[in-house]
Amino acid sequence: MLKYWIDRLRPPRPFCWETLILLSIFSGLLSVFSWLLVPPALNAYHFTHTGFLIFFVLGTAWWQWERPITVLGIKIGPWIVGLLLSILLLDDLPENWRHQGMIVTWPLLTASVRSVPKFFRGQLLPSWPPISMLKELTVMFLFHVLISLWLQFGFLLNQWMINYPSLLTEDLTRSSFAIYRGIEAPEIPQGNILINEMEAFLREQIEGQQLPRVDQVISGLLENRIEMDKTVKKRLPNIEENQWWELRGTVIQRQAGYGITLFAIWTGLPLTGEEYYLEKSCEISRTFRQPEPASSRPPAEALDRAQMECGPTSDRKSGPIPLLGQGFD
Amino acid sequence: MVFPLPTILLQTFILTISVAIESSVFYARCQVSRKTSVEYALSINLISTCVGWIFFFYIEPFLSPTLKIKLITYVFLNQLGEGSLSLIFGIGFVLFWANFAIKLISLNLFNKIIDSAYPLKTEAEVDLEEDARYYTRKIKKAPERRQAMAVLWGHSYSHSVILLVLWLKDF
Repeated sequence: MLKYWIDRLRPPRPFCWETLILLSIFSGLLSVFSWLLVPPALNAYHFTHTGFLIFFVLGTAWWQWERPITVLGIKIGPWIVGLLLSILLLDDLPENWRHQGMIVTWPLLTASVRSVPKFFRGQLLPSWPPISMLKELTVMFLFHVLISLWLQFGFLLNQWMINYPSLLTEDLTRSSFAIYRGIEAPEIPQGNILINEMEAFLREQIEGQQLPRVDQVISGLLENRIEMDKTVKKRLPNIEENQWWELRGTVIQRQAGYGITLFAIWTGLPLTGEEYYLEKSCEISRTFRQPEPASSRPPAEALDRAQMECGPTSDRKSGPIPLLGQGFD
Repeated sequence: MVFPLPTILLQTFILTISVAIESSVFYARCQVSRKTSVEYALSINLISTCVGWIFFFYIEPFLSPTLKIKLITYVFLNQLGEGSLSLIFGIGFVLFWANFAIKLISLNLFNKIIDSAYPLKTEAEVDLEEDARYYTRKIKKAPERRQAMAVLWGHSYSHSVILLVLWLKDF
């Protein structure tokens, strides 16, 4: 096996593609070596790593130039070289969109790789190709641009999908622009996530607090000093769908506390067939602590603490929203 | 993962149809060979498609939330919201003339940069131009105008067929 590769890569002449591949392997080994040093020689590593990539790209290009691999009559060499080039050129981009950048520029670089030899045609200096060849080159280049735009559209679709998770609960097979593989509806729909977060937010503010503090929170909600909608959305990952959810609630004063109903109202109309809302009712009550007999606590510490209990989230309901009591949002 | 495979197929189909129609209009209306007419039709259609995509990607982040959710609903669920039909007609109207302008400009550029011989300049017209009596703006512009008319006719035919295809695809 090793002998086969050694024979395969032994350069027949000093000036040929095998030389470049061997140079790239040598450079790659050097880069691994400089990485393994303690401490790693970073300058040397970057230098040899870039050298490895450049030699590898040039060697591959030359190899494909001499012995093109064809699939269905199309030379795939330029695609390989274009991919390597885009990896080489876009290696320093920030992590979050590096792969997108690489894939979108790939067809453009492929088209460049395809067209560059046409401008040289065995000469040392570039010259303008004849008209017929220029026309072919234009069409070829435009077609590659179109492929890269299609890829970009694919990325855009995926981004939309992440930003509008409610799409996944709809019937996606109706689309005539996209197909889906390996996507499942989220376990908790976005509306339920929002309403649970509202409950968690209230719980943090209220539960275990003394009663005057609870009154303060409730009046803060009613007088819009605490903006429920904004605060809750800020606590969750920022996706575009959230602006179509309206979060609000109602408060009813009871004898022993408050009755709060939370609503998450979906208003993004064309996306679902009709508007709907989810609701969840919570009860805030005081807990009566048994005064501990053997304690000498001051009476202020023995004050009542608030307790919050919530029912389950309702199913999707449509129709007018039953706003009883004082509303807040 | 979401793949735009149906978009690619649909667009390839539409491109094929419009190239076929426009090249035959070119062939009928201008004195060009079949090969040239196909080349011209293919390049101007590809250019207008690419420019359209680039414009779409440029404008997409600036869409208002209402328009954006309508667009997403149309792309993913293939349904238009209420009252979108007039919007669609407006967009279609603008799209038609914008595409036509792009095709004309790109054809002129194509003529100037790549192939300096106009596709329809015939011998008789060249003679007329050299004749001092007829050397007026009108006659000098005549081949360009005829070319523009050919593009317009081809464009109208192909867009009518595209409209038909887009309408039929939902059945």
